[in-house]
Amino acid sequence: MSSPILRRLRDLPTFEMATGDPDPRGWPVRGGDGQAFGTVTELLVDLETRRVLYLNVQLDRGLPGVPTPAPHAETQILLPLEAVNLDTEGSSVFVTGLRRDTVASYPPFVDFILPAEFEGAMQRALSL
Amino acid sequence: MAELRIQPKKSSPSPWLLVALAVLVLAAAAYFYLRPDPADEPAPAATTVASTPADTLAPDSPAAAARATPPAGDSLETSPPLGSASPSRAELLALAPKLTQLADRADLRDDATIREQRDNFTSATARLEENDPSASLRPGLVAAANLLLAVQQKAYPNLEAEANALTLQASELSGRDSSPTEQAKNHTYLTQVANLFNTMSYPAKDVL
Repeated sequence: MSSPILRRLRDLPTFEMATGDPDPRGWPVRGGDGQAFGTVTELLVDLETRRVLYLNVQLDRGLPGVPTPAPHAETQILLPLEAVNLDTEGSSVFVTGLRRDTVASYPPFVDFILPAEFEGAMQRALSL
Repeated sequence: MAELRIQPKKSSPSPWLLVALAVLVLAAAAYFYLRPDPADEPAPAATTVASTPADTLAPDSPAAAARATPPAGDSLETSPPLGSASPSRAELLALAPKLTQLADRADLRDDATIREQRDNFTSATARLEENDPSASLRPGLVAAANLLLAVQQKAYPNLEAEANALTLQASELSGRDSSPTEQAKNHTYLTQVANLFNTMSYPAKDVL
């Protein structure tokens, strides 16, 4: 099975969220302890299946163990949609496999590149 | 496990199209609310006859000729008093309020000639109404024609022929209403007055 071609939703001006599906961009991301540690900034979609595969999350500054990013730079991670729960009433994303104090061990999303081993590293970190 | 899907955006009308529609609606509304009232339009160019003083007539006009040579018997001394039973008198008095109303119309009442002719007409008909024994029918009949002529010159350039014909017809009336022939002649004349008045009851722009 070939890897899907991922696109940012913002780069697809002729597409939008399907009717009835929430748009989690801007929602806080909370760990298994309910503490927020980041914010969803972008959605990575597979145009062929027309599904969102990953949430692009910008981590809060000052998280334990997370190196302080350079000025005007942010630390980002990708969360597979299969690993999160969406709280549409509270407008929050819950990821039970991570917490504020463990997110430092999660592989950062450094550039818009998904190496072959990156997905495996994410799944291991999330115990999927 | 969450699932999020995407879909192609539904086509929405161009914002410029909406702006154009809004501008069109505003323009239409402005046109209907701000268009000049027909009564405010400038009066059509006065004819040469209209430019003459109110108390004179064009030297060669039939009306002037009629005035210069009044028909025999048209004097206060010789005019027989009209009985209140005179049908032409009643007909003229019935027309009087309509003609004064016409002269008082918003687009006509400011004209000096019309005002003067209206005064002449009301003066003549007032004497008839008072059963003045010396009152003749002729001044009222002629004044009616002159009033309609003034109205025509002010606002109905297309009715020049009719108004002039009426003036000519008025000049040929004796003012008496005793014999059946005179009554018929007066009745015919007053019918013409009523017809012209009816035509002038429509806005000038509707009269061809």
